Formats: sequence, C-alpha cells, structure tokens
Amino acid sequence: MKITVEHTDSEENEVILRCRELDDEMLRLLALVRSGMQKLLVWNEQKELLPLSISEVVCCETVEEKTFVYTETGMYQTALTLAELEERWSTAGLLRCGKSCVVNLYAIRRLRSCGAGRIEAVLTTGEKMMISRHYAPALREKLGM
Amino acid sequence: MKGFNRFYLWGVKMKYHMSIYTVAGIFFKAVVNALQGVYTVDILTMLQMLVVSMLFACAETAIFPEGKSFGDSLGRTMLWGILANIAFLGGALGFGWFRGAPVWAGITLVVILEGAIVSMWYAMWLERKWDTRDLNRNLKKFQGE
Repeated sequence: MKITVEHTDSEENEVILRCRELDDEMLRLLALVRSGMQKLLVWNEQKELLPLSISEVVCCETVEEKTFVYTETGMYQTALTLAELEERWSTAGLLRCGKSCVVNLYAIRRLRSCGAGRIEAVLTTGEKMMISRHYAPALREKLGM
Repeated sequence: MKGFNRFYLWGVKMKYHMSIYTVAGIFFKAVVNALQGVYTVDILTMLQMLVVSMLFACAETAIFPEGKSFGDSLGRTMLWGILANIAFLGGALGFGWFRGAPVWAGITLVVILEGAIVSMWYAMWLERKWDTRDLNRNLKKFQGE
C-alpha cells in the first residue's frame, strides 16, 4: 500500500482512501480511522456532558458498577461498560488489562516485566498499573510479541 | 473439586522442584563417593535427601505463592536463600551425608549451593531485563515512534 501525506492550508484534516475495492486491509484502515474519530461521551463531577477523544483517554476503571474515565487532566464517568469500551476502541489502542480496568496503549510510557507473567505499566500520568498474568498475554499479542 | 484441582496443581509444581533438588543432592553425593572409591549411595541417605528437598520445596511454595516469583521482592528472595542454606547445609551436617568426606567436599558443597542460589537469581534478573527491553521496543513500535 502506498502512503502519501499532503500538507495543505485547509482548516480541517482530511483522509482520502483510494482503492480499487474495499479489501480487508482497507476495511481495517477504515475501522481504525472511524474509531479514532468517534468521540466518547462522558460527564464530569458537575454533570456536564463532554465529548472526549479516545486519544485523550489514559485508562478506565469500574468501581461499584460505575465506569470512570481518566485523562491526563481529569476524571469523568461514562455510561459504557469496560467491555463496550474495549470492543469499540480496541483498534484505537484500548486494551483490557484487569478485571476492572482498561488501558490506552498509547498512554503507556514504559513497561516492566515483573515475573510470574505479570507486567507493570507506567502511564503518561506517572501512575503505575499492574497487568495480571491473565491479561498479559493479550498485551503481548497486541504488541506483536 | 476446585480445591482438589488447586491442591493437585500445587503438588505437581512442588514435586517438580523437589525432584530437581533431590537429583542434585544425590548426584553430588555420588560424585563425592566415587572420588573416595565408593560406587554406591545409601538408600537411607537418598530418602533423607528426598524428605529435605520436599520440605524445602513446600516452604518454597509458601515463600513464592501463586503470582509471586523468584526475584520479585528482595525479602522473599533472601528468605529463600537462607532457607536453602538451612535445609541443605543443615541436612548435610545433621544427617552426616558427607561424613568422612575430605574438607574440600564440604567447601565445594557450600560453593555450589551459594553459586546455584546466585545463578538462579541472576538468570531470573536477566530474563526479566530482556523481556522488559522487548516489551518496550514493541510498545514504541506499536505507538509508531
């Protein structure tokens, strides 16, 4: 596949896919672009609704059946479950890393192998997250290991 | 049934370690005996080595329970090292496994035991270091850096 990046003066970014037919490769690319464009609807402590870009999400967790979304600057709540979040935005980097948490792979600063199959992730916020040996293989697979 | 399965898996892992320690002990005893012109190993000595190895392997599963591994914490690793010394040096002195053997055999036993402890720790450390390096390399590749 040929990739061309054009720099223009237009205000809005534009992605044009040129192909003879929508094959698997193009469909995957389309899904990736669309999932990246979809906004996650969250609300803050003042109950104000906000559309959040997935690239802003650092991690999500469930506490007492409520799903909390963490960004580098704040904490929000969403109506979606962790499973729904992972299903919708797995192509955008969301990965289940525990029974009650999902992490954005693009928000991981570094990883550390901890033995017994566990992996410690240091997030861009500086927070450390332990990925259990149950979920570590999925992370390794996602990273192409 | 779940309890039995858990106990069975614990037994399999414990026995595996017990066998390694027993074989190592018997091998060392056989070498020392052979150098002294004795080409047999007493059954009672082998049984004593088996029991000591089993007790040590049981203690090992308590020091490193499910999810904890060698080198995870300095305290656990040190406790393991101290117990290894007590079990095998104590067994050798208490049961007189190397009674009548020259001084060099005793010194060699201590050196081999300490060497084995250090080399096990080093192997684990090295494995984790390389795994961490691979994890971060693949993470950066995934993140497109």
